[in-house]
Amino acid sequence: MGRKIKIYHFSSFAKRLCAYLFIVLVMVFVSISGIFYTNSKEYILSEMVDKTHYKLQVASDQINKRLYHIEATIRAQELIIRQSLNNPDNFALIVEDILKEDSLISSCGIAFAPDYYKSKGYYYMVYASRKGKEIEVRNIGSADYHYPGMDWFLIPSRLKRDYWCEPYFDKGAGNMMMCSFTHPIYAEDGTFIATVTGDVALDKMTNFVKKLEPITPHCSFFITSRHASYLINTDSCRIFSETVFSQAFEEKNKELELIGREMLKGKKGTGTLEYMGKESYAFYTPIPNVNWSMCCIAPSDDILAGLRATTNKVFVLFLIGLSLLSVLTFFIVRWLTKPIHGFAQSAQEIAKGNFDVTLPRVYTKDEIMTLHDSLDNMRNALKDYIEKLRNTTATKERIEKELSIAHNIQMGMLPKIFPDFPIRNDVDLYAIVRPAKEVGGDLYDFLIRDGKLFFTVGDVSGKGVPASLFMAITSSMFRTLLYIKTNPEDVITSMNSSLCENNETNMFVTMIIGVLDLKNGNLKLCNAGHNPPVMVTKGVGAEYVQLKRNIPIGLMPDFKYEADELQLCDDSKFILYTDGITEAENESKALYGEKRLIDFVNDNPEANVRKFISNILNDIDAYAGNAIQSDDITVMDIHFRPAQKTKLPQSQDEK
Amino acid sequence: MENHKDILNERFCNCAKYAKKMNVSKTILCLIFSLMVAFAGNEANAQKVIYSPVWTAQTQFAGYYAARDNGFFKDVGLDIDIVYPDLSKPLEEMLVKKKTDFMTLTLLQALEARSKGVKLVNVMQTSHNNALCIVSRLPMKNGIQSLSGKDIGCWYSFDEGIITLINQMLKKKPNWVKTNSGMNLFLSGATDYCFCCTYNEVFELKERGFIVKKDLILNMSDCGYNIPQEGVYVTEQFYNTHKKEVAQFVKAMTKGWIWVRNNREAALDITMKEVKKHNIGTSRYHQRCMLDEILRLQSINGKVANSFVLSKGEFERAIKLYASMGYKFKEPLVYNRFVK
Repeated sequence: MGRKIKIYHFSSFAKRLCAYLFIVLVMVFVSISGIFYTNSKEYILSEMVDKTHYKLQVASDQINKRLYHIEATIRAQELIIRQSLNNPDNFALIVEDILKEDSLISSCGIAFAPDYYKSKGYYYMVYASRKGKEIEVRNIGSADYHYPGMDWFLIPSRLKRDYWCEPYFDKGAGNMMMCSFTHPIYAEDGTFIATVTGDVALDKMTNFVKKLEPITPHCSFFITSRHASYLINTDSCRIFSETVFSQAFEEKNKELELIGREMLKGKKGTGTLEYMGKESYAFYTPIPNVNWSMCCIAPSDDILAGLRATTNKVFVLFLIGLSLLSVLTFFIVRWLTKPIHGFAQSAQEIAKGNFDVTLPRVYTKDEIMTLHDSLDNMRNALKDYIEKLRNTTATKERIEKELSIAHNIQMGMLPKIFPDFPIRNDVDLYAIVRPAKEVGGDLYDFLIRDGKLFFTVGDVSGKGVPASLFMAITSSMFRTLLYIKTNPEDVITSMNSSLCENNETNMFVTMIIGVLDLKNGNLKLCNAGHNPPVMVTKGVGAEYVQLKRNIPIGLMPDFKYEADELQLCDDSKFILYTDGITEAENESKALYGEKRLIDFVNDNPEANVRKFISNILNDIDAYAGNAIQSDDITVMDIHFRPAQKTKLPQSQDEK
Repeated sequence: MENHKDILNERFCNCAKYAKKMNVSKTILCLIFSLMVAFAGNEANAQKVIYSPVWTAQTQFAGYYAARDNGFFKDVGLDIDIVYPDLSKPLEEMLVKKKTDFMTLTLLQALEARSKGVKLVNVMQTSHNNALCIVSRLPMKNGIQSLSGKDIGCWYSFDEGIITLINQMLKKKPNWVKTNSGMNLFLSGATDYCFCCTYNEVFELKERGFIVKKDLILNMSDCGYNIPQEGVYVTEQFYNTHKKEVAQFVKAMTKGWIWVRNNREAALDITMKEVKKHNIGTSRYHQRCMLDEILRLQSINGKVANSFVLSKGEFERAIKLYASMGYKFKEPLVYNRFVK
């Protein structure tokens, strides 16, 4: 179910190197850029905060100064008003002077406590406003302009202190959005007399603020009153109708609400928020004397525009540089590795056997030269080696051929024709030699003459060709002596004498020679240092026959060999073998052993001689498994069964 | 109205005389023109009436704005106009002086006027709950008694009955400070307490950064003043002479309020136009909050009420409360004479 990952294999070393270089450089660049951007961002933000707060402070001071001028102008009228209380008609001049004194004041008025002047009626308010360049003065106090209930009159008269009121639409007088500064006047006994009010139109205030140095380009800017109303806002629709909190609640902007609360507390600070769909920074500072607060909200994009532009330039330059570097690296590496391609082609030619191929010329003294020299040395060494190998192979092939011939010769020396049944039923015999190599030192032979079966099994010391030659001599000698001597000990003694002569290689042969009288089952045996034979008697089973221990032949020329005599019963078997069977090893180097052999013989009592030999060879192979046969294997099985004896012509006995 | 018909007849006759001198095609054109003038004249025949709300433009009167702008008044043959009141004067004066025909007043304001001999009748009840509450800067640990001897801000158009009721409740009479406008008096610290409506000033306080905690607010409904507020009133005389117009007005207003319930944002659009037209400093957010609360106040026991009628139970509860304040009517006031 797992996804298969497709591994891209580069077609050239140059491409691989370029790709790796590209990846490493990009990683290094991204890391450096990240660190650079983060550090620069912090630095720029820190600078921006300081710079913006400085500008806000300057603007705050300028606004404060301007508002203070209005306040001072209004306050200054108190003394004049007190002096004119007995002459209310003078108030027109006072309000006119106020407008002349401060151009930012759109209108102004002196509003008296209701019924203060009985002669003037319940309401008396002298009001001056601008009509173009002219100043119009009138009494606007009336039931239709019920100023005693208005904030600018009511609040300062109750608070008994100067008051900047919240923005309002002055219906019936100024008929515009404004905020007013009011100075209340009290009699010495604390009785409220009147308020002097200067109105500032919000659009005039906005124009004044606009003339100040812009705080940051494209920023949103607003000034809030002491109760969070927008007095000035770059989004002019919000002025007078909204507060910073109504905007925050409407937009579900918690950050703006928090900033609003900080501003309301008259605090200075910086905050982050999402404003008009953009991540932004808010810088706010109070305008202390009037309890107003001003705030500048600048999108992060604008603040970091310079940094981002620089980063983008660096990124583009890096990409161009990286592309050029990649192309350049590709060609340089391809040029540098060009000899390697030549070497590869040369190696392919060498692999094809063309050792005279010309290697690419190298002019440098670096690894390429080392590679060139190594390849050249390798070519020469291979050339020599192949030449030697060719000779060796030819020699080997010749030897193998000779060995094959020798094998055939050796096998030809062994009798291949076994007693012909059913013409001869009293004895059955079968033997086999399986050399460990092409040729071996094991031998067997048999002959029936004068009603007697002469047989032998031998094992020449050593292996291979020397042993095979010694075996050939031994075998020839045995066959020759059988026609001269009839006793096995005589045959062996003669063979020993002959072999000891000129035996410069000190090779020897272990062997058993036996003569079985087929008429009566008398068996004479002479054992020259060979493995004990196995006799299988019907009703008794298999057992090793312990014979007199003579030394192998070929060692001591004058040694006197002695024979043993046995009597074979009907239907008994006599098995001779070489140590290749008992010393056959399996993969664990454990020997087949005499016990396993005797057990195997006991387990296969009824098998005829061929079948028995076939079975025992299979058993040995099964036991050895994958272990290599280390010694020649020879086994001979004689089945004596005189009860089935057939009368034969003499010629048959001679066979 | 008579003069208007005469002018139309005269125009038609003039056209007929002129047609004799014109060819047929010109005559047909003249006739079509005359028919158009006559059709326009039918629209001008709609009954002119004036409506006055209890306050400046806001979504509290969205039912009226919706009925006007959707043509519900025209549909019933009324040519309606709106005249906003002077908040510094007794509101019922507008009805008495025939400056308006229909006026939204609180139930207590109407009963007060009635006790003064101004015979007002209730033709429609747009609120079945009381929205009045008192807000304090400090927790009111002693409940209503916290107001004893304190400065309390309220509007000029405020129910005198409530002032009487609270004066009776308190150990020491408070100082009532009346203002034309909203919450600036309280926010500036010029008063310790102020009267608010849950649909307006409470939201305004929040929008000014004031955190309205539960222990800073005292609902009048919890102080025994649990009587409905706004309804539409006319003078008894006007009702007797304009029964049909009153019925048509109520029908159109009812339709207007039901439309508002189902089209709140559209109702806000209409309200905001009205607000801007009259230079009222308010935000859409504030008006949305107000509309939600106004519609809640129209419900009866928390369920949406399609009835805009002052029930007998509500009337009797108000009469009982009013009597407990020591007010008396010149002649006994019965439900059927007051609610039409």
